[in-house]
Amino acid sequence: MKYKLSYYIIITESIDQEETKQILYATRTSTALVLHKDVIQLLLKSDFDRLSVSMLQELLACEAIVPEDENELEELAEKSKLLSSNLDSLQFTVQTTANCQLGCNYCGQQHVKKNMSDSLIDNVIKRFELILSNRKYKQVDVSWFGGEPLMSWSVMKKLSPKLKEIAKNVNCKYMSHLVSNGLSLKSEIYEELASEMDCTFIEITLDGTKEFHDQRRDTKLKESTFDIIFSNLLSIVNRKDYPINNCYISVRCNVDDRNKEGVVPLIKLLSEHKLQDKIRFYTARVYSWGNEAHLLTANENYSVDEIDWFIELYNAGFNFSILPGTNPVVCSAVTPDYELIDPWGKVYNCTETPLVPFYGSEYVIGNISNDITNVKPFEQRPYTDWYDRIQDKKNGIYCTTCKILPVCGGRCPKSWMDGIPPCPSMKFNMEDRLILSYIHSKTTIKELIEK
Amino acid sequence: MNQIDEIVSSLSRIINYPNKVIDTVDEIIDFDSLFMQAVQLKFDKNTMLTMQYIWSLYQKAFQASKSSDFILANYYYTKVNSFIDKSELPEDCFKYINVYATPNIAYFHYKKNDFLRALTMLEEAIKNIESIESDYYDMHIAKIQQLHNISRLYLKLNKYQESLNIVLDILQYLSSNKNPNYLSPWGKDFIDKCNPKIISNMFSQVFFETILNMILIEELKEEIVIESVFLPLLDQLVNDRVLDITYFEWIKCLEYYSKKNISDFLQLAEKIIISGSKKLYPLKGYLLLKYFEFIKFGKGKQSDSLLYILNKLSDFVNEQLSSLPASIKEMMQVEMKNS
Repeated sequence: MKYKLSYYIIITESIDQEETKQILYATRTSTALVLHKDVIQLLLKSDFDRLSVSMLQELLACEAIVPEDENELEELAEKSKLLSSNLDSLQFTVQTTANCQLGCNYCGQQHVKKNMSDSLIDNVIKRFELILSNRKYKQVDVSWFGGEPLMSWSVMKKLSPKLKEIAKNVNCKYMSHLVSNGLSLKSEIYEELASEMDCTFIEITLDGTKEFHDQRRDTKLKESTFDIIFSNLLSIVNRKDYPINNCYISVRCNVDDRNKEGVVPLIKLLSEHKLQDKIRFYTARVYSWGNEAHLLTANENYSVDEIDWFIELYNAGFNFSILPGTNPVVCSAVTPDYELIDPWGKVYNCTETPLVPFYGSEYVIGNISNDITNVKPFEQRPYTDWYDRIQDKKNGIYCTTCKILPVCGGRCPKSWMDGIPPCPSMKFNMEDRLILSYIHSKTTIKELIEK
Repeated sequence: MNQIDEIVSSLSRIINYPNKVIDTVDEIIDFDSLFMQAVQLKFDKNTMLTMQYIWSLYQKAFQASKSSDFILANYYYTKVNSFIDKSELPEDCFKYINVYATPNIAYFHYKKNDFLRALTMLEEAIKNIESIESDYYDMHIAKIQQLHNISRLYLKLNKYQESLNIVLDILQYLSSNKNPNYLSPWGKDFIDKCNPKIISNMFSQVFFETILNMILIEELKEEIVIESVFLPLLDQLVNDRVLDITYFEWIKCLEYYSKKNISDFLQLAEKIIISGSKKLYPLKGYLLLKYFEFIKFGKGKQSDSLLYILNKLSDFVNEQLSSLPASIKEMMQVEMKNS
């Protein structure tokens, strides 16, 4: 039996003063191991016979070494294909409205005052019932998405109990989550979402402290929004019963070169209010949403800044992991078990394309306003050949040769089709992440210090 | 002294006992390592490397089954099967591969709630182990482990008496060499050739799990478990194999409890809780639950000192019985509150 060192390996420089230890990160299983430099040398020379039995077992388990004749890319892609076409959970996004109070200057959506009509609500319910009757799912996750979904609160309230009941009738676990700008997220709304609508988390966005946020996330009438959103956040997380049914608030901070100076002050503000254990906080680089927003930041700069923000978060006492998990199913769009229905009844398999004028009818996979069966089969939808595409170098997708493919999955098939590589920050700062993770949370990295 | 006073005194001595027991850490002997050792002794380096890869795939399948990700588990089973088909391993290896693979696949069926199929596979696993145990005696304990898995399966099938019969079989076999009835004839004198530490670990595992099941599974009537498993052991634990005396004393305590002999119960229970190894946490936890039952049914006014002691007892439970399952600790907190 011959082995080889996996292609999907990242090795750091020495991490100790004596220069004897290095971190080996096997991205195929997202496992980080601290190894003696002599062991690393043996691995690099493929001298596996000199490894102990237990070391070899560890390295095989984390797929740092693999059979010599294994085509690793094919292996990863075929496994992903299998898993993505056999999910036991349904993701169902309802875009209850095309309306939003905000006019964020990097948003690609076009907002109009249009909520789902009663007849479409009926068809959404029927469509949901049809999907659940066609296949046995263990669970379903309904995503309330917009526009700003809370501008159609009454639509959500009509839909939620019906969807829950249908799931219950087929013995399928029901859960939901909400993506909101946070402006209308009052404490009593939170209570109803968490207790009645089985919301498992709610995501809101703060793009820095007031001076930064209000420059870019103001209303269409140019009114400030930070104070209202932050006050809503505090009144929720300071409730005695928070988190109701474990429904946490997640705060996303969209970053480009114009507001990056606002991230650290925001982290400080959140910690001044002792929110470290109450919320999840993360930053995301502004990307193209059918526009040129991705040009506002260089990915390399973002990756450097991101490490500083991680340090700030660690120092402030936030509990989080900066090492990703594996990502065999890159996004809902590559599975047959996802649908998004927009306020007109059009059906999509991607959250990024509806309401965005840049994306035309080629992205629409159906329309259920008149006929609930009018949805293309999986094979005819965009992105379904994703795992074949990444295996062929001719397609120009960097993932074909990228070492972080197993933990990234290719990030966003749509962006690749748009010709905009969506490579995540971890591609550029993984070594720093590993060292930082080792310093701050040693328990997540196993030390195998034998020579 | 009335009953409550006696209990208060006993609990007071428990929480104030000055010399906390410090346990040395036992070397953990897991069966994957045992298999590895057996294979290392038997095969050359190249075969060993191939076997290690096969194991790694089975381990991944097991992890996937554990998370009920059956598609992924199947993916690894397909992968390992096609690898084995292509590999040119010596015939002898397949016996070892089967020993490892069969319980692994049985677990897959168990997680899919196909208990009958899992049962058939576990019985097959026992037969497979018989084919290699004369090469490596400690593997004999792997047979006991599969027998324990069969008792767990019977629990899942709500066949409680069948499950308890097997548990008694195992405990008797480990403590006094009495051959199990299940799948008899059971074998030769392998048990005497096994590492005593492994025997003792296995005994504790089965004993402890039975206690925890008795507390946690409502349908498993306590008196039936005591009658079917623990009391029959009392006369048979005496043997030349080194087993902790506390197990006998604990069963004795159960006897006192069932006869409502509170003074003798308290005396012996207190001794076990104070001086017994920290590793005997299920035994200690169970006895404390019995204290609460005595308090509940005890006569006399609940004194301030009892309240004080019950408050203090919380720390004792957290420190000394930290390995108890969370559900039992919660149960104890409720009992302390109610008392």
